[in-house]
Amino acid sequence: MKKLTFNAELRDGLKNLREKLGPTISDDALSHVVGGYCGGTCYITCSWYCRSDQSTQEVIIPWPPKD
Amino acid sequence: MPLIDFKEYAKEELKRLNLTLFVTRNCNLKCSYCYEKASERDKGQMDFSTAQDTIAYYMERDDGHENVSIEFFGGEPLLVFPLIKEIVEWFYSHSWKKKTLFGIQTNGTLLTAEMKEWLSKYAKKIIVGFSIDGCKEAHDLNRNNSYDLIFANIPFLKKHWPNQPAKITVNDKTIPYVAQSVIHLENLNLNFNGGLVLEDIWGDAERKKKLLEIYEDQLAILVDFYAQRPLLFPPSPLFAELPEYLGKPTLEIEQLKNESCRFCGAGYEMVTIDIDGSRYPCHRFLPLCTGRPLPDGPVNRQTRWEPEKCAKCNLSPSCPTCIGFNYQINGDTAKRTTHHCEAFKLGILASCKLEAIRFNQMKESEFAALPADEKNNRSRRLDAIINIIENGL
Repeated sequence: MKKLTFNAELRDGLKNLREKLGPTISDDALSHVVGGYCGGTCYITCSWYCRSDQSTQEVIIPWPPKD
Repeated sequence: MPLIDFKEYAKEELKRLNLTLFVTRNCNLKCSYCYEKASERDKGQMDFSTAQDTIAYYMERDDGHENVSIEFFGGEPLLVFPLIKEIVEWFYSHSWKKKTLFGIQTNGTLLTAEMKEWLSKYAKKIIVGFSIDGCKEAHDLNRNNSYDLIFANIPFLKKHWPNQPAKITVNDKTIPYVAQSVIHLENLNLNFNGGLVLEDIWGDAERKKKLLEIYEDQLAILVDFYAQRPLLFPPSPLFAELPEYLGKPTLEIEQLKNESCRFCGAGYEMVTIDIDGSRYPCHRFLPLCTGRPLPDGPVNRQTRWEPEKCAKCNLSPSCPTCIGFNYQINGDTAKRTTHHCEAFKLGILASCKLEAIRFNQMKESEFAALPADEKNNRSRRLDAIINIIENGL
């Protein structure tokens, strides 16, 4: 069985990279759904979640926001 | 984006009403995880006049919604294809003051040449979404051996609606097939999302432990798969959204919960009309699903965080939940179900590990070339990942 673990090489690589990036400009930036989300588990393509990739349609706004 | 901008963003969503027409309770499949009670099948279909009255009411009333998204849902909506056709053709023979897009969520097994011809004609006006549970073995386990039927229709569906994600649903029976299923759908070049059901599929403690070990193994295989394919992104919420706020240096989890947005439209920008014309906050509130009458008071208000387990959890602001299912199980839309708690954490670990590997694969020069706001965003995500690695979930 495989495990979702993080070895020392991966962890150290991230820390080195983080040091090089320097401090974040502000601490209030969040591009993430905050409050939870439905996860699409109702199987309907409602516009709140499961139409998230229909941004080319006239009335569709991407949801949830993508990075 | 700052929290306040996220709320502004959500306001855009408030301009659109999601009107679901529950056109039939019948279905040609009996999927093992279906939340609709089989005993309520064979109760007929919506009348054309009910659909007309409903659509006209929501299209004409002055309620602040500029757009209306009309979804045909069931049961299997294509069982009443003549009704859908009649509604859509009637709709487009009139002019309306609001913008509209139709949707059909189907199991994709009943598409005939006649339906395809008609849907092709309306492909820019009607979005068709379909379900496929991955590889044939997994799909057939839960969806009445219907893989071959849906597989035959994929080219048609992909051709007309390439951006509409297909739905993959996983339960205890198909956990051992998660990696094979996801890789299969990637190999079909499908756009798809989905994840584990929220229901209690786990059984006793020993069975749950075993299933979670298998699930972790499956997600770890997928981390390796996606790590080797940097242009592909794994399905959500199988790979859970990274709780980026864990990278905030001055994180106040209580403040975050207080400021969080309502993430679901049920009862506000979503309404479902049952076959008899009765109205529900969304289809998950139909007695067909909950076995309960409608709640007395308002629904979908996250004024408190319950149960206690969620109130204390730093992950609850990013955790999937369904207010209809909450009501079904707990009798309270705001009191969350927690059967998926451990699996959700594995989903975060999988996202976290994949993103960590991808960060390590990036060259220093690539970071140097990033615009300042993107570099800031990456730094925040990196902080969140390091926090999770060092402190756990």
